[in-house]
Amino acid sequence: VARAFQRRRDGRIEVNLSEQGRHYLRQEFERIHATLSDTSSTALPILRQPIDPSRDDDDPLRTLERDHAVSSSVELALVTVDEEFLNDAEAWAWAASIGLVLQGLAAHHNLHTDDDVNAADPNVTADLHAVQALLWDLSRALV
Amino acid sequence: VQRYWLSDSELESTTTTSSAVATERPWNVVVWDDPVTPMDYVVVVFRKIFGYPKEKATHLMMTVHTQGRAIVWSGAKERAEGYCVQLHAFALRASIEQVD
Repeated sequence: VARAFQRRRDGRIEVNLSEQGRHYLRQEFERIHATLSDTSSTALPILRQPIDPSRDDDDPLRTLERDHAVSSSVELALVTVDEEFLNDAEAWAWAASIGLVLQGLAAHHNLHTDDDVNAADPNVTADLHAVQALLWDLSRALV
Repeated sequence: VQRYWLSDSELESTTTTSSAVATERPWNVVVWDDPVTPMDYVVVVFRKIFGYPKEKATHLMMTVHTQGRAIVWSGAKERAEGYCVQLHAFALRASIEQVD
């Protein structure tokens, strides 16, 4: 069975995505990037989650560090979205970004629990499973 | 003449400070369950961030999955915050809390 991501003998990770798959990821990575620069956006609550919930506000340097890490990953994933092979740093950036795509889907469709996912519209779960399969496949290649 | 070593009183003061730091209550890094993130992904992220062996990373992931949360690391606050930032950057739900 062909896999979307496969580790080659030379250490690189081969990307076997259709043009439609790459187009989808490019669009979603761009959406995350836009969300990052809009601090008032509520599209991806995971990007605004508190580091220390016992405080009213997190240390701004830490939240800046998090924003920087996320934006570096998404930017790296965007500039390599058409590549046939990824090195490890690029593959990790893809993994982090695909993880955010999943969280974005969950937030958009109010999927907060297993029951929510089980009760979701079949088209939504099909999208969810497709992205989960990509992340699962990439995780296996990264091991 | 330059003195490059600590006097006894300075040494004692340094030791006292170190003990004070060492007795501060540690901070936990907590990872929370979510219904969409694949289990294998959580395992590889734990291995990458904390350098845990596969067995430990898998055990922690299963704890998150079955109990809703798991303490994945404990120690100094600054490092706990740094780990939490990394977990967030990998799209995992995480927070820090001080040990009771």
